[in-house]
Amino acid sequence: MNNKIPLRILALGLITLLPAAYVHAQPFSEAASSLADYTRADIHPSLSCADLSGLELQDLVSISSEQIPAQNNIPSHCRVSGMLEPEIAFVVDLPSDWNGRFYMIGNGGHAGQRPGDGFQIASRYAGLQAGFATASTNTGHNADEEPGASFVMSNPQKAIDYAYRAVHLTAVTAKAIASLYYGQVVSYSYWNSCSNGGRQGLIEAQRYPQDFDGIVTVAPWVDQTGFTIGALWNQQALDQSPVTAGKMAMLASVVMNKCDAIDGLVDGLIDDPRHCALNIKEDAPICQTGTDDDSCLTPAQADAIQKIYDGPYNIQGQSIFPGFMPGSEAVSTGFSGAASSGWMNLIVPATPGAGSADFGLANDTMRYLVFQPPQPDYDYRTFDFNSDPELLHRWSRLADARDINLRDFRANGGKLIMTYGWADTILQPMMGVNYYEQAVTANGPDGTDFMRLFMIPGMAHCAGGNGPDQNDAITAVIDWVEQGIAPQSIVAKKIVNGEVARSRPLCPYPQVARYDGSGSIDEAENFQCVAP
Amino acid sequence: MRSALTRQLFAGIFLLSPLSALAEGAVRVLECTIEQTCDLAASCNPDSGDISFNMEPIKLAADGAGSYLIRYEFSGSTFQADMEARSFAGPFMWDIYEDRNTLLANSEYRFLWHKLSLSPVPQSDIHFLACEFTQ
Repeated sequence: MNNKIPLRILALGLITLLPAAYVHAQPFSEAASSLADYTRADIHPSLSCADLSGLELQDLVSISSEQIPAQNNIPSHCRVSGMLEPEIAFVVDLPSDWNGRFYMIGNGGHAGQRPGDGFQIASRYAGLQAGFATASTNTGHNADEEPGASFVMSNPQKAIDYAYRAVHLTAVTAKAIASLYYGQVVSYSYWNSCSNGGRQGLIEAQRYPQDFDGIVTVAPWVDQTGFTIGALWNQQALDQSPVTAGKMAMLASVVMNKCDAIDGLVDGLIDDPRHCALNIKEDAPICQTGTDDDSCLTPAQADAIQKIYDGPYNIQGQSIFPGFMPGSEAVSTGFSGAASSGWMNLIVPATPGAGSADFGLANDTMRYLVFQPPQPDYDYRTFDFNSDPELLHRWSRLADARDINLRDFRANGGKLIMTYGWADTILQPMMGVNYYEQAVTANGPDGTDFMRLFMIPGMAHCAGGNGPDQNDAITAVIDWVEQGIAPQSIVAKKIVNGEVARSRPLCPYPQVARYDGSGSIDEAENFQCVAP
Repeated sequence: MRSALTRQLFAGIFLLSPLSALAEGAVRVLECTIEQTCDLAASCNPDSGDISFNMEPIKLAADGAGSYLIRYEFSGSTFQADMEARSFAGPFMWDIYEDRNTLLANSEYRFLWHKLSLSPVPQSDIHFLACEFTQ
């Protein structure tokens, strides 16, 4: 019993008080049309930047500050870097000309991105350019030192910090610093992030409803444990029956031919893939005995692919978690410039017998976060879909963002916009749809007065895919919070070589965009949001 | 929400106090030694053995009240359950199957662990514990 802390001291303490995509959309691109006029930044510091290096705050281990002059369209700002107990690194950027608001971005995958990483800096700078005080955190560990979820091995506290604590403490600390720096309180606070960052945003609304006034949660990892079971399911299926990139390209063509026209337009996008019921053994060409080339699927491969669409189920045939959607396997050009099925590398391993990216994320979750103590040598092939899902209960309670009680968030005036790509191949989009349907009902009957979901046809995880993947939901949520203007639609764009190749309205779920019947199908103005 | 933000600012100023010791949202470990056990007839006898309660926070208010996961080993079995805390010092309450467990502090280092079975008729065991939070 070393390092004992008596209750008396605890009481005194209480008196004081994928990894990839986080923000891939175009935040603030529609600022000029905002009625909130939020880019007007006419508040100036009341302290020097250097003064902030002497702050003493709850849980603060270290703090430093540096005045950074304007350069390359980045406005002059004070950068505050610090560490919260035990290893939560954070950065707050405070513009010399402030709009009175706070903007925070999150972390992908198992987090651990340093606030000084390029993407973190770029995301904060987007807010800084619009006049916001901005912040980000590593969530308590550095992924380059403790990769994946291995961070729990050095300190179990890091699991809680990753699950939710680091974001909350960073938000509270950053707002306290901003308020002291400018001599006035933050007027409004906003969150905008994707994937695990979407999960972080939802948990903020659920557990710390006073932290943010407006939240944009893109492709949120609502159910980290459900995803994990799904990814193990897919990997086990593909271990038994690997498929090649060529077969996936063939499958993509089969699915698009069957599903594309159901929404009334043959445009390479499936408005609502739930309307297309796939039976792979009937819809795809099945190889003759003794044949196994890219023109067909063997019966075992067809079974494996059907399993991925269906999602995991138990021996009674009861669904454990949703699968991936028709259209998610579509061939598109990735950021590397290469064209391939959306399943390649993420769901389907690049080479037979290897692990996919989704599986890697799930396997790390199982090995380090689900088991206590961690089991770094856990063999996913032993996972039993009838008896083992309950193993994930503990981690689910800590890290899943499934709490549908948003009453306090709503009562505080909070507004939440969720977006999800139907063609997401990292996170199953139905986890977002199911959460939204449950939450909007639980907090209703007028739940859409504070929460709206916008499904994006053809968009992959956070961005990418064939669909219009660029939008400015953060401006929409700002206008909703500050002006009371609920978004009736959000214009989304597909940008190719710097040009808008296609635009479409995103519609508040369950509405869909319906073509007017005249004009280009690549221009949003020729579509209306209608009931399905 | 502005009034809430104003409260947060003042909270932030309070945070400047150097008195802090408990990190908000920290995992807590309560390590205890069983000193005495009493049965439903209030008959008490000396007892022994160590037990460590691991408490992982899920959602807490500023005073430490809220929800945790509790995990501990007792009599050769590992137990895990959702737990409610009414403050940072308890009472801590959780259910294991039909048993209602309550952990009460009666001083900094003394706790009472009450295990109430509801079936077939209400009856309880009470353990008197010497405990300290080591995290």
